[in-house]
Amino acid sequence: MFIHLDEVYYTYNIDMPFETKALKNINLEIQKGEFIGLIGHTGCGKTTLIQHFNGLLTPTSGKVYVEGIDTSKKGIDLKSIRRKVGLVFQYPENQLFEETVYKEVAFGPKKFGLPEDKIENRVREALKMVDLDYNLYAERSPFSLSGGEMRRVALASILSIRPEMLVLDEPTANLDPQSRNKILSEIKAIHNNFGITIVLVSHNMEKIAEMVDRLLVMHKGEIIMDSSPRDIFANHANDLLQVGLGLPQVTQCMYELKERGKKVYTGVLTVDEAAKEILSRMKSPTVSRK
Amino acid sequence: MIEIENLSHFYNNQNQRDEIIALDKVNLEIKKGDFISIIGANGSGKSTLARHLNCLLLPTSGDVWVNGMNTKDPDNVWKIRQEVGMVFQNPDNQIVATTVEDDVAFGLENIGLSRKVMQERVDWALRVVEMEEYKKCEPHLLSGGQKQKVAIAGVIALRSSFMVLDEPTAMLDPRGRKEVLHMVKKLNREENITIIYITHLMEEAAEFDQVVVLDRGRIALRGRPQDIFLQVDILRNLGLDIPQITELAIKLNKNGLDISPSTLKIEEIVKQLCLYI
Ligand SMILES: Nc1ncnc2c1ncn2[C@@H]1O[C@H](COP(=O)(O)OP(=O)(O)OP(=O)(O)O)[C@@H](O)[C@H]1O
Ligand SMILES: Nc1ncnc2c1ncn2[C@@H]1O[C@H](COP(=O)(O)OP(=O)(O)O)[C@@H](O)[C@H]1O
Ligand SMILES: [Mg+2]
Ligand SMILES: [Mg+2]
Repeated sequence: MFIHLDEVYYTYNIDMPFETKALKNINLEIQKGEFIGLIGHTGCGKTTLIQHFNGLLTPTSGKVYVEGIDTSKKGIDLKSIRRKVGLVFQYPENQLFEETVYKEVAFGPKKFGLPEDKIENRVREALKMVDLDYNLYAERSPFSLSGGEMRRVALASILSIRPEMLVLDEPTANLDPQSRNKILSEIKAIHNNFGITIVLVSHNMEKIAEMVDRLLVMHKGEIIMDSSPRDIFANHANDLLQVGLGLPQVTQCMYELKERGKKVYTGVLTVDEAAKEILSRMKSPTVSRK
Repeated sequence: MIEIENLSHFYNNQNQRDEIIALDKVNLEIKKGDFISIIGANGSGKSTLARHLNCLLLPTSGDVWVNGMNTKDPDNVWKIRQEVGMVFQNPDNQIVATTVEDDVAFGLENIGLSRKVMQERVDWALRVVEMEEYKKCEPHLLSGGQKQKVAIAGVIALRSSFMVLDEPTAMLDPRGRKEVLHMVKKLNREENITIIYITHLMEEAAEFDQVVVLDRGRIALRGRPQDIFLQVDILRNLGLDIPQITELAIKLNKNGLDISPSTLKIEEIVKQLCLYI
């Protein structure tokens, strides 16, 4: 087991007026090589939860183990945990601090002791993965970039570490649609080719449905569902809406057909699946075709 | 009315010899009451364009006129900022006060209103955004969508007639997205506020009356969403895409169903499909 959370509670500002119980009784096991999606309304605790995966936060009560190491224990090697578990922050501007894009992406590998002559290659490789032209961007200041460009630099600066687990907090929020598709397929490829464990936090139901094997749904600090995306989207639409979430557009379309008395399967996750389902349900294909 | 004439914007870059051409002779006219979305690849110039509309940036060359006032004239800056309100992506960075009503009032403090008028404006703005019951609430307890509605209330309290929203839903959950979209529609239809809405979500852009597509600092396309989203290959080449529902409609159409390939919304496709299933 890679990550194990045992009865984890986390409270911000304990005993202060703004005390917030952000996590309540979280029990979670993540195996090596899983591809997990994490969804939930804003403020439900997603960011707080994933910060426990690399020891950035430690529980108010309960335990978090990363490869068996208790992250709350004094004197543990946090650096090695941070190298194993790479976290891409939700707001990239909070993650960037170097003068140039090159230094930013080189920072991790350097900190973890990669020899100088290997670093440039790492930087080139990582920038390529996020579709930034090395020659145009390496010497630019991260703070003079557009929102989407900043987001890519933040991603590249984690990819360059080559962690064993990648935790991505809304990684595609400011990306244009083609870049979003490209970067997500890069992430899928890293997962497939190197067995890297992925946790993807996202509000994009279409992409979550299409990509992940296991889906966690959070609500007010708790994990309320833990199942396959097909099960969750096919059978729990109402619960999702109740907690501020939604369905992929094509799944929504099936639900609305069903509501009008049409016999269709609601568990479709992609455009292809939806088209197939609709074509197989047609009253009389010969008459209704144009 | 906003008139953008031959607007170019170059950024100087310290670490690089070349200047970055963020906008390249853009011409665009935005009429009172327009309901426009702006889409474009990362770096295509959307935020730069937005910042020109309320004097956060000034033209390298060309002009921007807001209700006849040139943004280059320093005397106009405050009038223009009052006319053109901005809402940004990160809901947390926009909140400054410890209660919702103080937050909405904050922007009004510099424009010399009486206490009473100010309170009326705040109440009105919170009523319009459907947040009046939260007026004494601490903003940090609100959901992302509610925080954005408070930011929107702050703009309309100034009686701005133009509102520019730069990826206002990028960080929001599906409910928050719906709330913000519902709100800008309402402001446009009921209060006749002009909306200029930047987004990377194609299904959101499809909800507007017009779509402007930026490409490397130039306007590549402008039109009704029904017409824009038919141009699938062009859009994909520009880093963009079409809504998932439109993709489904096109696929079904290719399979011989009489479904319009410019179907943009779920209710439209459901209506058409009911004839077949
Ligand atoms: N302060 C700045 N200094 C230098 N260059 C900048 C600055 N801000 C933006 N740029 C550059 O200008 C171009 C346009 O940026 P802009 O922020 O307008 O893009 P955008 O369309 O809003 O992109 P995104 O979708 O990523 O938000 C980009 O190439 C960007 O790198
Ligand atoms: N640094 C912080 N200090 C105090 N409260 C916080 C802090 N970060 C988050 N919170 C609160 O904890 C709760 C969970 O927040 P968060 O983990 O950011 O949720 P999500 O990522 O799902 O939007 C929210 O109520 C939020 O306001
Ligand atoms: Mg978060
Ligand atoms: Mg931008």
